Amino acid sequence: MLLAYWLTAFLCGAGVLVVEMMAPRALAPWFGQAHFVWSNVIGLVLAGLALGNMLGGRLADRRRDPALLGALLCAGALLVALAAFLTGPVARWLLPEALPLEVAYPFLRRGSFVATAVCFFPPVLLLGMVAPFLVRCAATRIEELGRTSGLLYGAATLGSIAGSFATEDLLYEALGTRGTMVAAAGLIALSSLPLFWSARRRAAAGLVLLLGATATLAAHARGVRAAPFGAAAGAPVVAIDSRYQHLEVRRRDDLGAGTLVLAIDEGHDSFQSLTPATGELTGGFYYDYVNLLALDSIRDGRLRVAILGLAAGTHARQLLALAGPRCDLSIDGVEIDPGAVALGRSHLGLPDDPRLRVFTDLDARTFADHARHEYELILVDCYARQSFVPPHVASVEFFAALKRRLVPGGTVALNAFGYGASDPVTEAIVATLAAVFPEGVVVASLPRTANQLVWATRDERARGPDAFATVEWPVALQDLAASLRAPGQWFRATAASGQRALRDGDGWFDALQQRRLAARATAMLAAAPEPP
Amino acid sequence: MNLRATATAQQPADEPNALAAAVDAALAAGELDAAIAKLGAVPATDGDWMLYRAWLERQRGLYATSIATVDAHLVAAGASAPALLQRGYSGWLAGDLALAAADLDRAALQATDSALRARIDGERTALAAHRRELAGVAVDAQRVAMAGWITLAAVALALGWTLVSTLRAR
Repeated sequence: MLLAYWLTAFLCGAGVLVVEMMAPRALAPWFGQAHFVWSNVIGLVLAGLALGNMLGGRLADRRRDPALLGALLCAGALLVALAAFLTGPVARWLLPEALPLEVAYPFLRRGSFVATAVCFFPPVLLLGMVAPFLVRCAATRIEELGRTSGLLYGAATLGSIAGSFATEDLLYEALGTRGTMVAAAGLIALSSLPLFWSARRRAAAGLVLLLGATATLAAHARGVRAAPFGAAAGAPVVAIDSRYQHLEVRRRDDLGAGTLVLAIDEGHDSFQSLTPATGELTGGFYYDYVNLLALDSIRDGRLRVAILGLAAGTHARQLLALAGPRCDLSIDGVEIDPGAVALGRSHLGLPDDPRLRVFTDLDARTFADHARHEYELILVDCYARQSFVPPHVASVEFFAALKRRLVPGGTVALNAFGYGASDPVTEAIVATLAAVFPEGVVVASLPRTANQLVWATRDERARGPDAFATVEWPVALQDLAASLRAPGQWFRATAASGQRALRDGDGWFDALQQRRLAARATAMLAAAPEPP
Repeated sequence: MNLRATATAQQPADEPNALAAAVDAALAAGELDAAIAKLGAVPATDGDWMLYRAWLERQRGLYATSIATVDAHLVAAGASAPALLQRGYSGWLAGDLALAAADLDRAALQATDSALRARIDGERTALAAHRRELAGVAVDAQRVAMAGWITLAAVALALGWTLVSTLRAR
């Protein structure tokens, strides 16, 4: 009998952990996976478990009935399966269409809290009732209560470990978010089987077996496995759940007829890669300006570029077309998510070109620390969890590693998203870069965008836009260079006393990025007029 | 929002003095902060230079400073359409759309030049569209905030009630 209870605790523990791991991914197409989404999920899952523990204990004291526990588990399984399909409708109710990035923060933070509470709190509450209930059912003598409860709690924890590894290594890649949750629902339902069996409810046990097996099979169905389309702006083209994040290709005619973009964990109007219907340039987005630095970095007819944060390859595609014919070009593209590169190849025009080497499943920091080659230009375009720069790819240690990868006179350039050149996040990045490059940093505000292009050069003063020799460049790039040369469009910055450089392990940078978004959204929404 | 064309036009066309040369030299060298500092001593009544300084501050991303510079000029020299337009732009970029709208409205009333008036009207139309878009979003934001508080209260209440009643039952 104890073995049956042990098995239930193990399977249920596995199911709870799968739900906990899948919840942020289920929310990602709409709310992203920022820190606050994870905090909301973890906090509410633990609250649900705590409430379930207390209620389960009280119920078990009143009715020591394994069949009742089995029924609770089945109800929990049903709610888990339901949650897999409920996140979309709930998110659509919470989020306005085409949510602008600059006011998105409160929607994502509060909305993910509400969505987690609606979709995941109820099933977790029911599953939280299981542990004390099992202890009550299994305990026959008070003298053995400690051993029995230890055995069952240990089983649940071991189940959680198994659920963790099974999700990461087995289920998620094969079944996607919804399929994994449906499979978890089947697992949870099956965990009630020993309870019904031991209570001699054979009919119920048979039904559970049927339902569990059906759910497990249904998890493999294409319609269940398919990644849903989230709330990113534009017409949906294709969506996938990669090992790391939720990716969508969307058509954005508002950016130019037939323009395709890659949206990563995005529930608003921003994007991470862009391919216009015709031509190479994107109509003035920051990608275009990077080509100015690339052409300016050609030395002796040679240009070796590393792109950290390749995504779907907008930079690489442009460089191959614009710098490729002018020099001996080689590009090393580093992208942690192979899914982004695959979508770049299949939908966004990333060519399979021998001059482009792509490294996937590799963090930009790892590449910087261990790469052997040297480059004339290293471009850093690393964003994660929507609009957050991961601190480990913006620290003094990271930039120092990049500096070692530059040839003398080589340039490192960063795309810094910020509301103006004095945006606190941009200033922090500039201060950190300046701490590593004492010759100074150039900051260029890119016209009509919320992006700054920031660059520094190894062992010498970085060349400003005024020094670009543009005569032989394509006319479109000459125009872009001219726009950067306008008075006040760019400036130099050096390390100054009192400026705080980001170091590995510092926690303030994430908080700074979050505060920046919150402050902007608060100001914008406060200034919105009353609707008519 | 076509800031650049507007703002460039506000650079004083005639630069006969050493200050202009020094500012231009600083800008050409990428020393934007130094250029702004050089303009720190111009009289608040000097509209051309004060607005040029405010524009450079805005280019540097110092929106609040830019607004303060225009404020000082408005106090010293009285309201003018270019100054109000300048402050409206800075308010817009700072995210203070209410200030921007009020300034653009006042600038439209002050403008006597038809070309300037047309430009201001164009900006007012764009800003009004931006604000209309945000009006709907602001209502949704209130709804989501309310839903968030209700959810938090419900979870806290359930946990608190269960905890207290369980303890009392012992």
